[in-house]
Amino acid sequence: MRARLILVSLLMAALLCTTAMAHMPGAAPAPDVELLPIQIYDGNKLVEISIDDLAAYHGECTGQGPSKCPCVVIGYRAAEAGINVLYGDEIPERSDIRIISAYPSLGSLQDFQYITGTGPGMDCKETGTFNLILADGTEVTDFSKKNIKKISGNIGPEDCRFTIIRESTGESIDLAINDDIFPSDYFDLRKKVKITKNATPEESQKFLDEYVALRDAGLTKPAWELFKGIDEPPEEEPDVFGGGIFLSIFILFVAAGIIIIRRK
Amino acid sequence: MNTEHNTAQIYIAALGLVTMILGLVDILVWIGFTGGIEFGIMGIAGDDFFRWAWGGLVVFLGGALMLSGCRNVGNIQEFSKVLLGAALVWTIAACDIFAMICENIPAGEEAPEFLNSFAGFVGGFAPPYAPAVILLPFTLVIAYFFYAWGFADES
Repeated sequence: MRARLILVSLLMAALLCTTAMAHMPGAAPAPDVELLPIQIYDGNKLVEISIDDLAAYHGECTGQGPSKCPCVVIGYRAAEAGINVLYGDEIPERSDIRIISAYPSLGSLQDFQYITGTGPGMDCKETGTFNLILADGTEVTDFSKKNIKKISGNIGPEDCRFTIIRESTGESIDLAINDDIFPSDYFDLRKKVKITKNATPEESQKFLDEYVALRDAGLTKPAWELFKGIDEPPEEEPDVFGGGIFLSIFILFVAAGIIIIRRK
Repeated sequence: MNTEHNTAQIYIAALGLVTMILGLVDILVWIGFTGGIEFGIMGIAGDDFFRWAWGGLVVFLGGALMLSGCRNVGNIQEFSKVLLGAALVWTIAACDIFAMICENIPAGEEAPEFLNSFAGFVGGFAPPYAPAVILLPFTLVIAYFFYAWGFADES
């Protein structure tokens, strides 16, 4: 009896966790993809920031449990892509990173706060810089949930722009989301479902489908398909010379082996 | 023991030691001590248990056998250990080369065609190579000793 109770409790806990992870009721779980973590130095300490860390931090800040919502995913991919372009194989110092976002969403905002170490509850030796500057040039300093929700009521895909800056050299990269990433009615539906809360059940379902598709695209598409500003790496030409040398030696060895064995 | 045996002894000892180290590195990379490593034309991806953990163990034991038999290579019993150690390395190297051949026959996952182009096939044999493949030509010297010292006729 006791074992059954424990089993039922565990099953219920697992179900609750699934709902919490989804953050959006009814959303399918995020696909299990391996995204490389962002590596940065916090003082002398190497810190690896994964999408799961950001989802957990977002959940902690919102009090709704870990969530890989589209905004968390897009913020992570933008930071990852920008840092890759600016630093290449180098690992940046946290204090050398500055991120300017024009996208007022809690998910991406908390991503950037976590990466730069400027978010609430962060215990970092060094901090980078994060600014939320809207498309009209207004800088937002009140990052409360209420204020961000209020500002984000009228955003569109054109607001999904980020600038990543390498402070030590002054180099920067501007990233804007590609036109085909957000469905054309995504922000209208988002407003109805999340802000004004007057969506019909059909609209809610459509938003849910688009939400899941957007999140999955953010997790699985390469950076150059997500953002303007990132060039697709050129396809590598096969190294025919290197391969040819190996094949020639291999064929020579095999031929020599066959000849020796036949002679014996 | 003649000078040729002395030289061979040193060669086999060095080869055994290097083989053991590379086998151990295969295993350590698989465990996750470091991500995949590339050193010159050698590469250890460490992503697959059978290839890197199990294969690494075989290479490691191959090196250990070479080392244990290198003290008196003129003796057929001792030399047989060395030959067995080399055979372990050949087994892994042959598996690696066979895998390269098989991998290079089909075109890439995203390519519309099924078969690889000739350039793509040949290019697939370019470096980096697994440690066992790099060790292969060096261990073939042991096969030479096997025939040159008359052990083949004796056996």
